[in-house]
Amino acid sequence: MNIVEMDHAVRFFGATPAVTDMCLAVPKGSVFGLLGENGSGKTTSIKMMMGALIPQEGTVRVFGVDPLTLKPEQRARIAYIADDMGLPNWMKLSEGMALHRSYFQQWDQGVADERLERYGLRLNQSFGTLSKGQKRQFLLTLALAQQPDLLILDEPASGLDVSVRRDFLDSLMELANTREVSVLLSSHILTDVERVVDHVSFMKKGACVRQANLEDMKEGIKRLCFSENQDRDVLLQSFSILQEKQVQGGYQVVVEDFAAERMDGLDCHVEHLNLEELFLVFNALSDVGAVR
Amino acid sequence: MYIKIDHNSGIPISAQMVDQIKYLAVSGALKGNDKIPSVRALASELKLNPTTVARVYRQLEADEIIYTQRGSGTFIAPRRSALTKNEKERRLAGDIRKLVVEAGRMGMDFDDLMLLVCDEIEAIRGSQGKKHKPGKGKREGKVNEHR
Repeated sequence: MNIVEMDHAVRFFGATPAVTDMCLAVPKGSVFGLLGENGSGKTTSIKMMMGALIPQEGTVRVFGVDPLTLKPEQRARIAYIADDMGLPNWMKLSEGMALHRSYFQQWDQGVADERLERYGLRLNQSFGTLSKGQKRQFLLTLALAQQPDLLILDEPASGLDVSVRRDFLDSLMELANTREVSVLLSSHILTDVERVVDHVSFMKKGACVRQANLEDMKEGIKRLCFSENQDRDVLLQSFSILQEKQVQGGYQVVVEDFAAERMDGLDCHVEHLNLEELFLVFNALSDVGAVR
Repeated sequence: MYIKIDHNSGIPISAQMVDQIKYLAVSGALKGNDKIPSVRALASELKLNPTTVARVYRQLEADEIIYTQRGSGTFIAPRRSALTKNEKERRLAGDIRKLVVEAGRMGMDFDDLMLLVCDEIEAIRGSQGKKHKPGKGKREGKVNEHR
């Protein structure tokens, strides 16, 4: 079952397209990475999932229903942290927590206390005195104590230094290991995301260029490096080509259906692609219009 | 169980784990019927997604490296030599050819390749010789790192 689904969703702001044709399916229990450059439509897509923006065309489903029709108790199963979110600066953490707790029946104070202690946050501090990293940690504390079934994080790690980012992402993995939760996070810091996500969707200019299980993608997509010219037709018989490049002293192709047993007779060196390289391949693909 | 994951190498995490656990089993760092962590325990330890680790265990089970007993956990399978010598040779022939071809392509001296293979065999023999004690697995597993 999919926790979140988008089917050809479209959203313009005036004449400016933000999301032009977005399809996405977040499987239950997955940690899903919504990836793309700034301005590719990630935040607009998330706002449509949250029911904060209405798609002008297409459909969005969360827990199988239109997010606008979610009942309060269903909505309480979603936790959402955005990049620019916060509490009023004068508000004490204790007040912020009491306010937040009042909305959620499933609130687990034990989870909150454990997080506060781990992060070294004191309840009599006011929100404004926290550093950027601490603010994010406090928001995560609130989100986790809410015991969500779906956690949506819009650029959760941006602007944080590397150790705080790592800790933040490790916390997500702990959560995924302690209870069944689906996580959707958007990011443009791919090396971070690579550690935690199992599914990814690459967005470009308001549309999804490719969605897949990351491990499947890494198994299937490889770069073959030939030291001399390779007969392209022979190659095409065995593989489907995503990208090809003539380089000095050789020829390189990225194939999407790599299988070792079909490598017989091909004299080349096989390179693995990490998430960043995969992203660049699909980013370049969509430029020439060869989407999917 | 000591496993080192390189997240940015582009090699699927599950493939890295399968390779390393197989190595630990073959080198004797993990012995037949040794209990290994549950999917969730290992995923928490390595800070990985449990679905990734579940995938690794499924693969290892299909390769008969581990077995799961309902209620009591997951264990390293005792090494089997049910395959005939011919069958073992047949299964390995492809990989060996690939190795030799790759070495030839790089212009490597075949005698040097032989030495490399011997070194690798010695390394595994060396760790098999040691008696495995609980808690020592971590150090022994590190043999893997120089590869």
